[in-house]
Amino acid sequence: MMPAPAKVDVAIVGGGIVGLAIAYFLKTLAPSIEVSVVEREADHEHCSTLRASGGCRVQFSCPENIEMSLFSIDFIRRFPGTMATAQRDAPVDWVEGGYLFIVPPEYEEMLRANYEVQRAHGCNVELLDAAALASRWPSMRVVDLAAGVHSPDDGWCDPFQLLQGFKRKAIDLGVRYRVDEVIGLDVAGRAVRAARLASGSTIAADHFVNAAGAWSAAIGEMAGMPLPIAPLRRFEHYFTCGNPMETLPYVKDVQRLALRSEGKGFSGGVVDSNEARGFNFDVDHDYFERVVWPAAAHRFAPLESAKCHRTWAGLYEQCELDGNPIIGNWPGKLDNFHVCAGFSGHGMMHAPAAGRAIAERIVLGADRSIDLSRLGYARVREGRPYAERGIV
Amino acid sequence: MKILVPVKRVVDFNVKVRVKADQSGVELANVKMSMNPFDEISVEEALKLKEAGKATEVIVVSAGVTACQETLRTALAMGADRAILVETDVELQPLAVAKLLKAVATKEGAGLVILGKQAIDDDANQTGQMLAALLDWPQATFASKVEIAEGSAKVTREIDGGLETVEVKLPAVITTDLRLNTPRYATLPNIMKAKKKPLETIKPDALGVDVAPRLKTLKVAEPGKRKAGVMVKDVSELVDKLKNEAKVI
Repeated sequence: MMPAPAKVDVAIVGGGIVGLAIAYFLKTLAPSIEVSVVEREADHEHCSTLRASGGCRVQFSCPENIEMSLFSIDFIRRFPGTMATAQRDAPVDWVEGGYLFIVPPEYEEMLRANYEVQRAHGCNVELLDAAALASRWPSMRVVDLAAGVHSPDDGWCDPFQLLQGFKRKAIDLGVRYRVDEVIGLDVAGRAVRAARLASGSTIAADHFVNAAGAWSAAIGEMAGMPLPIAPLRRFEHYFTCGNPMETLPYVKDVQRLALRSEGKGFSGGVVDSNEARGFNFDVDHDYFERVVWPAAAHRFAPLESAKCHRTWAGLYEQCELDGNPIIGNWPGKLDNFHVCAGFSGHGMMHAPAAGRAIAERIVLGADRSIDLSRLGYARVREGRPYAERGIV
Repeated sequence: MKILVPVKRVVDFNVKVRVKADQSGVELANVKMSMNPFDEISVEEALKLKEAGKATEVIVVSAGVTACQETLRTALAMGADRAILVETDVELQPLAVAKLLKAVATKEGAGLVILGKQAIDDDANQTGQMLAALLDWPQATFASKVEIAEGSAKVTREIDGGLETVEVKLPAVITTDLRLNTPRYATLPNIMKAKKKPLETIKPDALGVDVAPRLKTLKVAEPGKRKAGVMVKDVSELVDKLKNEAKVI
């Protein structure tokens, strides 16, 4: 006879930044709760967190995203103080470099509207016209721009250290972290009862969380919960400039060019939304020269002289419905199976807030801090996109 | 004076090199390839000499597979005038490369050949010296400073414990060291222009050179794995371990 499976209160599938944040907030809200995190890779080799650029910003149009950013940025800023354990410090190398969204005339109205929403939520944002942009960032070519919004309190951190910090703290608080792979979910009635693992063992739990990121659709499938989430490859490049140039905030435009200062150079890329979906980690070594460099050099003339030193590929967990995360259970169908995935490139920056939200729903039964009901699974069932306006 | 600058396509220095499973070589599939950094320094030095009026033309040459064209295009984008690819799929060893370069240098009537002192893939540090011997030209290796005068070159060399200055008659072979210069970046407009610069392709046969390998690679292996470290509680435990386990104090 098989031994009775180990039972915990919450089993989390996925030990990337989202799964670990959920585990951490569960233990902070309810210290006695039993939490298991199952992560496929001991070294997180393909984990999207470690391949992310680390940016965190309040510049969104959906109030949920703005609120999640406000909490997450504050959390990440205070991370070293909050998350240190007796054994280890928790540095995350937070750089408050600011974000700058820039738009051509046809997007100016949209940028203004988003700016007003951000202001209404108490964000520190300033609207700048083309002349102001040119005087603030002398290298920037502004002839085709109408305006920009600068958010000086935004910035970026080191995703690796953020992940390690969450992991150490969660384990320190008693979270059981195991390296194994979920290969099946046992569903009975309106609930997932157990997760079957590649090692042969089983985890039974009262609640399950799907935090498998780019792999979350396959986990959802195991429980019969279809998710419109697909892996979308993106490249991040580190490059240096052959000419003197000012320090840049994290600059983003409507063509999905994104770049910021990093050390002696710049880190950035251009997302190609039309890229074929799939678990592809191959690097296209010509992509920088073909796509990123012309875009960057168009915007900043000194970058006509540049050299790309490194390119790496990572996966967005792209929500094909609307580019926003799916946070919630399937009420009436799978009450105890919570999805927290589909962040579409914003997973690291929203992990603290989303982690807290899932923890509140499991422990307190409702959203207490931020109402995230509009990001729930209902919109997927009903095919009602709830999308960001403008730059994503 | 024409300057000939050989450039080699190598695995980019940022890449973590992996050995193939069958130990026949290193993994090159989907690996970023770049110009050997010492060769970038050679290109830069040749361009500077031309800009200073000491040379009339900078010709870059590479030997190897078709993809070496990319490396040549990079050199053209930096400012070289034209390029030659000696195209072959055969594995090229330093002696074969030196013979090819001798043929090209003679054919082009080069007055100076500037090479990297070594390539970062095989670290052979042989081609420049072999080329000088085959051409029967003087050589000045590991250059950190080059001054061209009428019919001669004064070269400062990096040697153990200091610098040595030598004077060689031209034509000559010079190999470059790291501190010679800082190579310029190719600019985006120049990369576009480089696509229109002449790039001639020739086969080793046409140069009358037999490039068949003389050496056989038996096995390529990774360095041994480093053992994991241990955390010590305090200084006395550290001292104890250094004394009794490592036996170094």
